[in-house]
Amino acid sequence: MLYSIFHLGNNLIGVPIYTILEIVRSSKFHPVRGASEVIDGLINLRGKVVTVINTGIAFETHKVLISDESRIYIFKNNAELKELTDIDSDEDMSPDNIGLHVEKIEGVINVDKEELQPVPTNMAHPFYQHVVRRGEDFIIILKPSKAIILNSTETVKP
Amino acid sequence: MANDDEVFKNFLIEIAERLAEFEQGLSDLEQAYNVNHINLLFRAIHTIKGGAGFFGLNKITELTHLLEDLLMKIREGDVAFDVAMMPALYAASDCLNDMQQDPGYGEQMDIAGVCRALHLDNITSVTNVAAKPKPALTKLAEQERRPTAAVQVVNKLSAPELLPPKPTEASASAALPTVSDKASSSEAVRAVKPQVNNVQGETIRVKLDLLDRLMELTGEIVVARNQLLRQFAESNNKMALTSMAHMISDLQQVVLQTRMQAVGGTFTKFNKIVRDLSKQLDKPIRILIKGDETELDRSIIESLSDPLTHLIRNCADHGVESQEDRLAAGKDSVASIWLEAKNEGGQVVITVEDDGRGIDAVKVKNKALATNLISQTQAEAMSENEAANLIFHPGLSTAEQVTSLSGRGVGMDVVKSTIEKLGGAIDLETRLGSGTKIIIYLPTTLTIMSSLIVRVGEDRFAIPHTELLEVIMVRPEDEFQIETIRGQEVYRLRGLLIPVLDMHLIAGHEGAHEFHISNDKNERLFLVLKSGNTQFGLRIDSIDHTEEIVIKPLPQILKKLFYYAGSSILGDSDVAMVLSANGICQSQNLHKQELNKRFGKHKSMTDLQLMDLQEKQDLLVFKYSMDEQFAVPLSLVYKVEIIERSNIEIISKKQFINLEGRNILLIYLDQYLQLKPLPEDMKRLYIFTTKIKKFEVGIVASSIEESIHTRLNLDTPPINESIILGVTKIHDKLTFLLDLFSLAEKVSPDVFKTKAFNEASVKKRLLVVDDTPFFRDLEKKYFESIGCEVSLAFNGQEALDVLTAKPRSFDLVVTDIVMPVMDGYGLLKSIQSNPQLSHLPVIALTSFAQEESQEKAKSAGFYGYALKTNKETILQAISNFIEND
Repeated sequence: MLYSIFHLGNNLIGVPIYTILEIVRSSKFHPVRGASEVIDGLINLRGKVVTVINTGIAFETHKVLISDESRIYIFKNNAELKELTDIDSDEDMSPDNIGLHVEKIEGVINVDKEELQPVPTNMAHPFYQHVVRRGEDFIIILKPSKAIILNSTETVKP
Repeated sequence: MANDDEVFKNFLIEIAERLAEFEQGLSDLEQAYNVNHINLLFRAIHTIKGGAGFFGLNKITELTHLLEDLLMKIREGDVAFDVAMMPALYAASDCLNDMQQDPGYGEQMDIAGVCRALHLDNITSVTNVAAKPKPALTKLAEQERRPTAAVQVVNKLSAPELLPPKPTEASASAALPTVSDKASSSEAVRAVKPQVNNVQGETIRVKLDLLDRLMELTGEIVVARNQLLRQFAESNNKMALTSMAHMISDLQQVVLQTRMQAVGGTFTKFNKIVRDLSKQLDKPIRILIKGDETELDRSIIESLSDPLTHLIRNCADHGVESQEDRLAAGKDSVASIWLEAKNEGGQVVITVEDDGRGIDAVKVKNKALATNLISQTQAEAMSENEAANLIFHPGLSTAEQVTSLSGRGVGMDVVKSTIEKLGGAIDLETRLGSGTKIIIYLPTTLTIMSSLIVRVGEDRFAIPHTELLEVIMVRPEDEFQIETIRGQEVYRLRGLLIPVLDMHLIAGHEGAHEFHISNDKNERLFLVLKSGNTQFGLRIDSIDHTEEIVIKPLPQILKKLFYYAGSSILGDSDVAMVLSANGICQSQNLHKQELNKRFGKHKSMTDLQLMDLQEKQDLLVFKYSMDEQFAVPLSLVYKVEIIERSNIEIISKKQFINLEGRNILLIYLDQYLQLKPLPEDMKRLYIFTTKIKKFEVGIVASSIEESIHTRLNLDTPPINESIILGVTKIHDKLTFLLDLFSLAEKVSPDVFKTKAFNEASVKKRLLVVDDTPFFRDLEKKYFESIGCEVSLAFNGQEALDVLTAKPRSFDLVVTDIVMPVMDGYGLLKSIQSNPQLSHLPVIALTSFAQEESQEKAKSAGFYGYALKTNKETILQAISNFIEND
C-alpha cells in the first residue's frame, strides 16, 4: 500500500495515496468568517470549492503557513472513493472534497500490511491509525476520514 | 435475470403512480361527478390490472378486476354513480395501497371484505356506517382543485381504451399513459394547468444523478461564461461571445426547471392522510389544497414531506376540536385544513391553516415558565403570537397525553430546524378559538441566483437579490441615524425599527479580524435584508457589483454555519461566501415583533429621546463669549436688540439699559455660571429680552446664533446649577438650555422669588406624571420648592393605577401630554369618568407653545395648561388651583 509522507513539525505523517485526488500548491485561502481556526479557508480548484483544514492547528501544535514548500492534499470525496474497484476502503470521507494544508511533503513509501503497527498508547490520538518504522524514522499513519470528521465546525457563538 | 428485476421494479413504480392518480381521481369524483374522472380511474386501474396479471399477482388482479368492472358499468351507463359508492372505492384504494407495500404484494392478504363491498348489490348497504357527513359539495367545488403534475384529464372524444405499453418495453423510455389535452373541452380547461415540463404530455424517466450532473455542469458553464464576459468586456468583436452568453442564460433557465417539481405531487397524499386521521380521531375533517402546481426545487420538496405531515397531523390532532365542541362554538361540524402553496417575491410560501381551537397562549406560557424556558417578565411582555411561537422550542409540548400521532414534544422543533436547514423560515399566527396558521417560507432554488457582491473589510460576500430589499447610506446630516439602544444598533426605516447587524457580530470569532475598513467620511452603508416577515440591516463597507452566481451548498464540515447559504466562485475566480438572510435571522434570534415590543417599553434616556419625537420646540440659540452655547425657548423671548456698551447705566450695582423708554435690567451669565466674562473691548452687545412677572430683563450674549425648530432632547446637565435646565446638542455643539426663571430669581430674589405656599395649612399633594425622567425630576424639585408634596408616575396608566389605589391622597394632578401607553388626554378621560377620581383637577404640561393646544386642552377639560419650560405659567396654573381651593 502506498502512502504519501509529509512533515508536521518534527513528525512524519503518512496518508494512503488512494484517498488522495491530487496535491496542489497552497495559495491564498478565502477565509470563512465564523468557522473555527482549524479551517484555513476555501480554495477554487478548477470550479470546485474545497475546504482546507490546517494540519498544524488540527493537531494543536502550531499553524501551518503558506510557503514554497507547503502543499495541500486534496482528498477524494465519497463518490470518487466508490469508483475505486480494487480497494476495499472503510474510509467514510465526506460528500465534498476536503483539503489538508501541510508544511512539506517528503515522498512516497510502500508499506506492507505487516509493517503497520498499532499506535503506542502514550502517543494515542484520534486521528492516528497506525505507526510504521522505517530505519530510524517513525512514521504515523493517519486516518484521513477521522481527521475530517473530528474537525467539523461547531458554530462559534458570538 | 437482471432484466426482469429491472422490469419488475419499473412496474412497481408504475403501480405507485397509478394508485396516486386513482386516489386523486376519487377525490375529484367525490366532489363532482364527471365522466372524465371515471375514465381516468378506469385507465389507472386497468394499467395496474394488466401489470399485476403479467407478474402473477393474483390478489391484486382480483381486486382491480372488480374495480374495473364497476367503473366500466358506471361509464357505460348501466349503473348510475352514487356517492354512496365512495367508501367502498376508497376502501379498495386503501387496500391496493397496502398490498403494494406488502412484501408479498398482498398474496397472503384477505381481501374478501373489500371485494364484497364492490359488488353492486352490496354498495347501498355498506354506506351509512362509513360515510362521514360531507359538507355542501358546492362549497368545495368553489375551491380550485387542480390535479397533480402527473395527471391530465382526457378529452371525452379521444380513445378511452389507451392501453399502456407492456411492461417489457418499460425499461428506459416508458411513456406515462397521459393523453394530451386538446384544450377544447371546458372541463379540461378547468382541470388542467399547463405543466412546464409536460407541454405536450410526453414525459420521460431520467435518472436523478444525470439531472444533478447536468445542473452542476451548467453551473460551471455559467461561471466560465461570466469569466469570458469579463475578459472580453472591452473587445469590439465579441458577437459570438454575446450570442453564446444569451444561449447559456436560456440553457440555464431550462436546466433549472428540470429540477423544479410541482409541490402537488407531495400534497396529494395529504388527502388520504387527513381521511385516515378523520376516521381515527372520529372528527370530520376535510383538507383543501391550493396551489399544487407551484414549483420548488425537488430536493426541497423531498425534505418538506415530513414536516408538512407533522404539521397536518398536529392540526387534526390538537388543533381541531371534537364535533360537539365545534357545534357548541357555532362552527361548522366539519373542520377544515387549508394547505396552500404560492410564489411570492422569489420565495415559495406554504401555509397550513385550520379553523380549530387555536393555540392557548396562556397554557404555552405556563409550560414555558414551568420548564424555565422564559422568565416571568418575558412572559408578561409577550404577545399572543409570540407565546404561540414558543411551541417551536424543543421539549415544549402541552398535549396532556402523548398520542401516537403527535405530541411527543419533539415535533415542532424538528419541523422548524428542517425548514431552516433548507434555508427557509417558519412563522405562526394563532387566535384562540378561531384557528392557527403556520407559514413556511422557502427559497425557490438553491442554485443559480442573481446576487449583489459586497465588501466587508477584506472579504467579499454575495447576497441573493431575492433576499435584498434595499441599500441605505446614512450620512451625518441625515435626519435618522443609526442609534444604539441597550447595546443594539437600530435604524428607523420609514417608521419601522430594524436592528442593524454587522458581520463581526454574526460570525463572531475570538481573535476576530477587524471587519470594517474605517470610513473617514463617517457615512454608514448597510443593506436591508428580509427573512419572512422580519427585516434587518447589515453593515457593509462597499458594493462591488451584481453577478449571477452558482450557489454551491456548504460542505458538510461547515454545515453548522447557518448564516451562510453556501459558497460561490465569482467571475474573477475568487471565492465568496453567500449569505442567507433566513440563516442570519435564525442565528440572531430575530423575531418579527420582538424588536418593536422590546424597545417600546424601555425606560432609558436614549429610548425616551426617541419617543419624545413629537415634541419639537423653537429655541433661540446664542453664544456667550465665543465658547459657550446656550439656548432658550423662543416663546419666552420678547425682543432681540443690539446695544452699545457705552449706553449702559449702573444703578445700585445693577446694570440697566434704556430702550425706547423701557428700563431693562441686564443679566450677565458669567456672574451666575463659571464662564469667561465678555471681552472688555466688545463695544456692542447682543441682548434678548424676556418678560418675567411683568419685568423685562435682558440677557447679554456675545452673538445670537440662530433660532431653530427642534426636538427637545435634554440630558441632565453636568453642572449642578438650577439655572441650567438641561444640556442638548445643536449642530453637534453642546448647548445649555437656560432656565430664565431661576436666573431671574437669582438676580433679584426679592422681586422674582415665588412665595412658598407656607400659608396653606395643609401641604398640597401633587401627582406629577411625565415619561421623561429629566422633566419629572425637574418638576418634582420645583413643586417641592414651593412647598408641595410630590409623587411621581411614568405614564398615564401608572398614574391611573396610583390614583385608583388611593383616590383621596392627591389634590392635584400635573401631567405631560405626550406619553407612551396612555397619554395626558387618556388620563384625563379616565379620571373624569371615574366617580372616585372626578373631583381631581388635572393640569396639562407640555412643550407645545401653540395657542391651539391650549384651546384643545381647555376644551378637553383640563383645569389648567402650562409650558414645561415656563415656570411662570406652571406657577400660574397651580396658584389658580391653590387659591381656588
